[in-house]
Amino acid sequence: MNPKLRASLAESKKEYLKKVGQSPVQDLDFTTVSGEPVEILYTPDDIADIDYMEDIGLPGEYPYTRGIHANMYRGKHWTMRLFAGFGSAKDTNERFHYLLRGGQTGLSVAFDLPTLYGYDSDHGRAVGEVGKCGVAIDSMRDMEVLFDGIDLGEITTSMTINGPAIIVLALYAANAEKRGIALEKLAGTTQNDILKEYIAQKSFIFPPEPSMRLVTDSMEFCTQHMPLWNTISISGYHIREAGSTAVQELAFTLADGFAYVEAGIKAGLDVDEFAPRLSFFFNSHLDFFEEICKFRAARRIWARHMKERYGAKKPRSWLLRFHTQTAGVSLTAQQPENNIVRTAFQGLAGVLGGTQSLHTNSMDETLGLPTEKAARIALRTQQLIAHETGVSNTIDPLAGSYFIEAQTRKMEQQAEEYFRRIKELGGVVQAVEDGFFAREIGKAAYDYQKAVEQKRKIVVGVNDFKEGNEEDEIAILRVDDQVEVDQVASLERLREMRDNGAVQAKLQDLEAAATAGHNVLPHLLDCATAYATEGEMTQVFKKIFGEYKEPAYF
Amino acid sequence: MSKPIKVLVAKPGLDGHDRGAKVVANALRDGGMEVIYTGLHQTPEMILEAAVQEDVDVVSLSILSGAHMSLFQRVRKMMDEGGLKDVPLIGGGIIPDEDVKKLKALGVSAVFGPGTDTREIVRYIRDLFEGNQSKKAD
Amino acid sequence: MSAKYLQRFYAGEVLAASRLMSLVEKGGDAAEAVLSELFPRMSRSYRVGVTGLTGAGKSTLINALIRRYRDKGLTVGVVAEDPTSPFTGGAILGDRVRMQDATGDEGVFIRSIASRGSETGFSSCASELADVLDAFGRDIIFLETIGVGQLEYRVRFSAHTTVVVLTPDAGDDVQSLKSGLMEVGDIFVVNKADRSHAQRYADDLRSMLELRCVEGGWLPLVVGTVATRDEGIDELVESVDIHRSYLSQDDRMEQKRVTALRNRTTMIVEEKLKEFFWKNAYIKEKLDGLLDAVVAGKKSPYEVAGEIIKPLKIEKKKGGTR
Repeated sequence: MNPKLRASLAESKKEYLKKVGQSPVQDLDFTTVSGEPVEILYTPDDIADIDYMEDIGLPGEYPYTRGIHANMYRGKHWTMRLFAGFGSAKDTNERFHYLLRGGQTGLSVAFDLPTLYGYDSDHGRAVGEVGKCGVAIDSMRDMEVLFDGIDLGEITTSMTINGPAIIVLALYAANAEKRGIALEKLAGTTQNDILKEYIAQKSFIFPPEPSMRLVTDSMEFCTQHMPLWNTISISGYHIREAGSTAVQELAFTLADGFAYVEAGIKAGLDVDEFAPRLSFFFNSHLDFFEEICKFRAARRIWARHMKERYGAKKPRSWLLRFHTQTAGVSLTAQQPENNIVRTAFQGLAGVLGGTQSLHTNSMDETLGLPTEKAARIALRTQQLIAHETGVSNTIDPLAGSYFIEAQTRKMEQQAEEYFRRIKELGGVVQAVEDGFFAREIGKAAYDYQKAVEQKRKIVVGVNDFKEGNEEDEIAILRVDDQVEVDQVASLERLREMRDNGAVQAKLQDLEAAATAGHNVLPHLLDCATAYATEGEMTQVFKKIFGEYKEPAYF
Repeated sequence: MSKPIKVLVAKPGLDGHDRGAKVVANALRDGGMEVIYTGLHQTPEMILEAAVQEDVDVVSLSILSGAHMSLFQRVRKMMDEGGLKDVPLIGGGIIPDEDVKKLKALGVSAVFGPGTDTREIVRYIRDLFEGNQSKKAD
Repeated sequence: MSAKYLQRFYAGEVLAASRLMSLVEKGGDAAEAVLSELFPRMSRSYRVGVTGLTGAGKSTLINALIRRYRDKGLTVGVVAEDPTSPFTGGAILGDRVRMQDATGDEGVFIRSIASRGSETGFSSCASELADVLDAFGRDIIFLETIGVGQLEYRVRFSAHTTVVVLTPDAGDDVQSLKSGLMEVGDIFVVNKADRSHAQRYADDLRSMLELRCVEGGWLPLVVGTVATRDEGIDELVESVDIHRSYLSQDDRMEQKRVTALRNRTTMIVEEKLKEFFWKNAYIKEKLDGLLDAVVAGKKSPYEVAGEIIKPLKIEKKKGGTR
């Protein structure tokens, strides 16, 4: 910016701010939902020291601020991938077909709590929970039903599974192989981001060290045999849902990512071999612009660290590819139709932020799992964005905005500050054990709650604009208790019909491999093919690795 | 000497969402109460054990997994059979209005759904004990 | 009412013990009656105090210790104290959540308590809750406190063995260890001993303790642990055993018991005396009257105190005490 222009702008701005200082101001909080202050106006001087080529660049080029592909949505729209799963594999299979008919372009599987924790549906801990918040998967038989009529060689599947991720991956892959699809052709993602489980989602099973080993095992195996498979979806979504601010989501997610990179390198893998298959998963929350800046900052930070700190040479290793889900925690039970609007704004922010794949929430999710109609509206929301709003026509349209570039950089700087603090604490795992994340997130969550209760932050329908709350409830999805009964019976039949001798033998091989430090995935595949159950395989690991109890910091 | 109200905040079942439970725990503490947070993955037996050993005035459950009917029922039964018939059971989470009615019929004293102001919870518990004082052991 | 609980208490019912503990927490005549009733049964358990700053890992350590003692066939009681918020009077009692290995085991009784404004970080109430657990028959009782102990503190809760848990940060110096903690520890645990600076810290601590050790006295042991990984726990149990056998020599245990009882009784008498004194309307009236003079600068507080106390007499009545 030339000095004369700068001086004149500075002068005018001073006058302007004086005028503003004397004008009326509403009694509202002009901060983002994370509590970050936002200026009334941004001008060229706010980004005068940002270099376009170095800091912003072109799409598909380092540092990827504007997007990871040169052609972005002109080449292909983001994958419309709605998270789905409830009841039995058959129920969910029906929902998959419904969504595919509706135009979604990728699958995303939600598992029930017993499955997430490695319990079979007939385990004592599973009582009352089978099929309630996701699909019940106990064995390869359930996978067969789950994907019945779907060509796994032609579609990508994302599976939200963490503690027993490697086991469920084996169940999925074994099923695909049985149907004649080679492992090399399988494309999809296992969330498999155990670090954020300790931080936020809490569906861990084993302690950190053995869990990381399972992650590196999957990285090693997939690099060789399943090159199209994203081994980890390094997630910030859950961290944000647990109450963190946008910067915390950004920083903690990327810190986890760096930890995985370091683990992979430590395990002897070449960073350029596994890094291209690391993917990310972010939240898209209420504050429209804060989210867009977050996504852009994320790409830039990751590219910079991968290239400069970890010495990755392949451009594919520098790319931060991500899936986005609109913020479940922002939805209200009061006047649920408003959630359609919230989701639309949040989905739009994800698109303007350059996401590769998007899930939009259904309006009824504060009351139960999505009904067909609500899920359809959520899918249509994405289609409306893609085909009616025109935002896909050009890439990263908000680039160059004084506000957007200033905030993007600010978030990057704030994230770097967190990286320093985490490093001082001795890294992510150490920080988890010290309760660092729990305290940061807990405080942010509580501060937000107080802000809402004091009406410094308005939540429509909850602390203001409440007329309409008493209207009749909308229809919600119910998962019948019969699902549990049927699933337990089905499990019994499975145990009778399979070759139990073979299952035992395979489980023993698995135990030997796990104990000896060999890659467990080939053995898991063998177990899966023999119809060993998820619970049986998990039990082998529990015996060797132990179980994790979280220290519950406040 | 008066004794502050003691509340057990429990996460029964496999549900791992603890944001709400922790926010409520903080709010109760700010409301002058003593809070025992059980941590995740509690079985009804574990909840009863904690409630008995700590002699809490109120037991509260936070459930977002859809398993609320089963869990509330089992906890209430455990408490009744374990000598805690007079201890109120309350809770919150993702619970449709229809189910709230059913839960109340089963002996759950109050259910606080999404969007509840935590001050309402504090007030409710205080009203149960007419002030901040525990009724325990007279 | 407490009578019905007492019956069930003697029968070993956990809920009864719990209710009596609440009664004790409430204080007052009923509480004192119960404590007096249970007094004869109160010196059977071995008490281990565990203190240290927040985050040191006390609860995690106790969790590991509980298992060891249960393996030996001993029953366990735990009284875990957490700070009351000075602003709201409320508290989050977060120690129990870290001692969950023992769930379902009837041989383990865990009770959480808030400090309720006590300055030493250990409310005397916790000591009384331990008394109830003692009377209930628990072989070993752990008292977990937020520690910044004062000298009298050890005496106050009469733990037989006091364990001080430390987790030094890089750059921490044993010199900066709060003097209260130094005096109070029979055993020092350096937790998170896998961190690089911990070994050096432990060594420095040992040297310092040796310097301060009195001839023939107890030289505190220093143990390194990683509580979250169950490392060093056996060594800690051994150290407690060593201290316990040290105490059982030369009547030390008995001396400790006598001192503790004497201190406790004195304290209670003092408290009751104060209560009794201030309840007296005559005293209050006299004081109010004299305060004006102090405010006006005519009398000093000391003179006023003298005027109130001097005329009081404590005499032994013939054939009894006054």
